[in-house]
Amino acid sequence: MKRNFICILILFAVIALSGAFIVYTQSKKADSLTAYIYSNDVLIRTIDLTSTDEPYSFTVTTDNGEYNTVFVRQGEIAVVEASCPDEICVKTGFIHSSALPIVCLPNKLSIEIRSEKSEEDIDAVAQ
Amino acid sequence: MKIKFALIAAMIVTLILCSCSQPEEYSMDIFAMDTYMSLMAYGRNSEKALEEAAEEIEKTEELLSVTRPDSEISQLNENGFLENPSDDMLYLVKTGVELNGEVDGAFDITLYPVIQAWGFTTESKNIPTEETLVGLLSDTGVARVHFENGITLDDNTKVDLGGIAKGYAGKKAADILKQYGITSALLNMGGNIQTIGAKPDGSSWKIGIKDPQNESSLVGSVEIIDKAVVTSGGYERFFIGDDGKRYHHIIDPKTGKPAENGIISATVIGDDGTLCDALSTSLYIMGTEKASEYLNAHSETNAILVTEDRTLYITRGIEPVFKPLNEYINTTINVIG
Repeated sequence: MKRNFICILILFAVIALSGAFIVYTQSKKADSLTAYIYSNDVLIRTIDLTSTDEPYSFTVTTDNGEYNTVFVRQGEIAVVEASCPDEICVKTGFIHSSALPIVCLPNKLSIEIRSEKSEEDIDAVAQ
Repeated sequence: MKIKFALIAAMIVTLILCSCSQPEEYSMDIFAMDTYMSLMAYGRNSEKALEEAAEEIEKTEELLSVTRPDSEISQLNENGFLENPSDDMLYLVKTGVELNGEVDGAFDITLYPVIQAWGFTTESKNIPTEETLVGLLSDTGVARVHFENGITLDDNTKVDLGGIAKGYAGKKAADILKQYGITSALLNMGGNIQTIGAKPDGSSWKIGIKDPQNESSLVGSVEIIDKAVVTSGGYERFFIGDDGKRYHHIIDPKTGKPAENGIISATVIGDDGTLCDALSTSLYIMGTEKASEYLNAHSETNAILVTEDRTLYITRGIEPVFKPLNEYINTTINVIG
């Protein structure tokens, strides 16, 4: 009888703890910002912007030699140089939220940031 | 017996806990209609529903792309007639013609030859001469589009549905998602926003309105549920001419030149994405004075206008859910409509 009761208690404790763990991991995720870099519809790289301590840059080159140079620093990402004629991707500047992606239509490159914090975040930008 | 009971109880609690977590979410990015689109839907079947919605967008593009020689619109422009137009094609051309009257000519689907002359459909942009424009404009006007035996066009008349295509594709995609029972979705069609229902937690979608003078900033945000938000701005597609002047892609049907009538960004919020798309272009072309008059006379249309001198005009219906941001926080808001 008593043993059964203890069993129930343990079970509930396990459930409660796993619940707390889920909530904890979700809330940890809430603070993270991840950049997703797509080239020609293919996700070629993801970058955790939150844990980027030292700024760095790298270049994405397409099969036909077109390029975009991407600059990463904590919480932000930008295209700083590109071979496209309009350079809209460069003019977009640094992005730091999911509201606005960087898009280079000529070179078919796009960078978007995803985060879980929805309080202040804009869901999409009309433009 | 008791252990059994405990196990069942534990299972039920676990199930409840699981069901409390976020609903199924699926997102998809596609390049279509010359832009980058990001589609997101929540709930059961969201993956399958989005795949079908994306197919529908591509289908609409195939139909309406003036740069594809096999599209229905290219056939119509090349032959001057289309005997058996698809339902979509007929609907869009008719809607385009009707809207022209609605907005006093500010929206004109027959401007295509003028847009071609500016090179906006190609890579080589150039400034057409006054003479060229006058010549081309004489063959424009929706009175030159007829609906006998399908669709027929008068000589030298060509149509372009680019001004409503994205809005229409968004609406069609939303219809498909709804057929799948999706009650929460956000379709970002390259800045043309179409939403279904509210966010999964029941709150409104928060849509930012881009600052037309600052690429990485926003004028403000609007909170909406189950609506489309479409913005037209000259900053979107433009080129710098040999004369150093900036020429954008929103052509005024009256002059054949980029509209310069005081408005630098026009946003329309409404139920029908197709209509929002056409109206945002129209209001931009109309300019501050005429657009305000139009909105005062059509209280059912909700809009946000940004003028050259950074003044905001917002209709009564949307003003309560509009929040100015950044440099627009202390701007005077003129409530109209």
